[in-house]
Amino acid sequence: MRSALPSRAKKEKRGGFVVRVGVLALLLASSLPSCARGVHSGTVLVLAPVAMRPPLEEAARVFQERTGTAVELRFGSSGKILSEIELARRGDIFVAVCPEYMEEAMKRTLLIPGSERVLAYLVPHLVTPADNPKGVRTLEDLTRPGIRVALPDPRAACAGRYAREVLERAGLWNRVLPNLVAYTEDWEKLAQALALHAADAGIGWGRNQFSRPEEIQDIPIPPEHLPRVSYVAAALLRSSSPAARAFLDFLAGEGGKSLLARKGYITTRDELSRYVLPGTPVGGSWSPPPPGLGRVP
Amino acid sequence: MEPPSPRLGAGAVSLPRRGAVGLLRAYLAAGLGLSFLFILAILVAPAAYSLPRGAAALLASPHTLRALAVSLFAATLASSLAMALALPAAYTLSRWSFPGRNLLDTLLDTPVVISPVALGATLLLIFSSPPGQAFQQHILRVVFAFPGVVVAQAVVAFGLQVRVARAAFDAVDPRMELVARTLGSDPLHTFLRVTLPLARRGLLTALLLGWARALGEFGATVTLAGATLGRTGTLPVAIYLSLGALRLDEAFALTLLLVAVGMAALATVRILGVGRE
Repeated sequence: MRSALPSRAKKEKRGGFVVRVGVLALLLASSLPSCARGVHSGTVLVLAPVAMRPPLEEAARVFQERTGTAVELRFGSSGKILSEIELARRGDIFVAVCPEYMEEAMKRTLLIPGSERVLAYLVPHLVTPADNPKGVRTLEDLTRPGIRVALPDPRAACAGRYAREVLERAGLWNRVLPNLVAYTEDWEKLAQALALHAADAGIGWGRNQFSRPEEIQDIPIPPEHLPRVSYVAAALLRSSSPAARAFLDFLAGEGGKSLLARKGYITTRDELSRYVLPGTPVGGSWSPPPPGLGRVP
Repeated sequence: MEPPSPRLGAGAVSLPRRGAVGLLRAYLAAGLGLSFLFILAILVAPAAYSLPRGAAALLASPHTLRALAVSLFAATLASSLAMALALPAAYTLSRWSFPGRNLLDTLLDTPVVISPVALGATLLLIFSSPPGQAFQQHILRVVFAFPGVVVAQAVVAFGLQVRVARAAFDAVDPRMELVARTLGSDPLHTFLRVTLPLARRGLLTALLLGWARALGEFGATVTLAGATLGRTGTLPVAIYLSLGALRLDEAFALTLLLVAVGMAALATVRILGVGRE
């Protein structure tokens, strides 16, 4: 038989329950602001294109060892991460491998003016699987029958803009189209597809801009076919924390530069001049074509 | 003689106190209300962002219509193919007992457990292996082609459908089938005339859930089939590429379209099919 509690005891019991629920609600409410920010204070959130994954992962580790400040990295295609920043208005550092995206971020007042730092230079390459089974050596080879060409999407990925520009400059775009089997959403997906032999060749950044460089091969594009080359820049977002500046200084300073060089990135203009003709623009802009493949045969 | 005193049977429960009932009601109401508000926010946010920015014009572009067609066609094909495989798998697991059944049952959950991008990469690996390439050369090109969209979506839908279909068959009392058999019905006839009609509601739910899951699938699709608008570009892929092209207005207009089409299709089938029960 259930023992009936005296009404006072009942009230106390109910009161205790209400207090417990109240405390729980307060705890939840107090944890909300930190949840909303997504990272603990003292953590630096870096939003970067996939082409910067190899050096940034190591830089984050080294920086954390030295300073105790954790660095959280979020990767995607240049455009996608910028869209995320615009929507969420959060994050500390924006890294762009196309200056166009840096300018766009500046135009949308997402960055702290004057905080932009150049980290490295990127040159488009012809890329194939490591064993290059179809023997692709030149841009002209991309037009050979039976070569499966994949390119990063020119609207979403920096590498895709450069790839299409290179082919248009070489007058090969219309002849490569019949071989173009797919656009990938970013440079990394192109490299993965090549590593898995899902495509025979493509145009993107170099093998060092991929986490598993041993699985792909990069072939330099003759300098006369390079309409322009790109530079990698990083800047502080308006929502950045004080720790972010220290990480940006580290990246753009001697430590960061030597790490980038060790990872196979071009970090000086002198070095860049070995890959390009004098007068080749560094940066600049280009209007991406309409979506899709255009004229599909 | 004293009448027997009523005793509580094993299945009887003691009635909860009034306070507890009140709390339970509050919890139910809050749960329903919050879920509704949350879903409403998911519907309203893309509309509020894209409609004032001329979403209607964006949606009328040939690329959008093409992405819509690819999405609808692929999701319907993928969920039907997956259902054709999920149905026998679910029935066998529900009715037959054989060594390794539990292991097989667990293994069939793999597509649900594995993340879509990892699943896409695994499928890419399979179709890029020598047997996979031979299959592609002689039978059907899958990687970076429309069949790739269907394969990726079908695998994802299958994981869900087999689970729901299994529950639907489990809910059918095997005695009904036994009775039919004792009345002279053969196994196929029993399955078609007894089991299938009794499990109909659950199976239709499995098909619809699979279709909806396929329609919204992105990770596996984009990895296996690429992001080529006009060929393998589904609505979710088009949304991703619009985000990449910094066209937020376009991205949210497409989101609105995806939600509207998905909901309209599901509602129609529910009204025509399940609603008649």
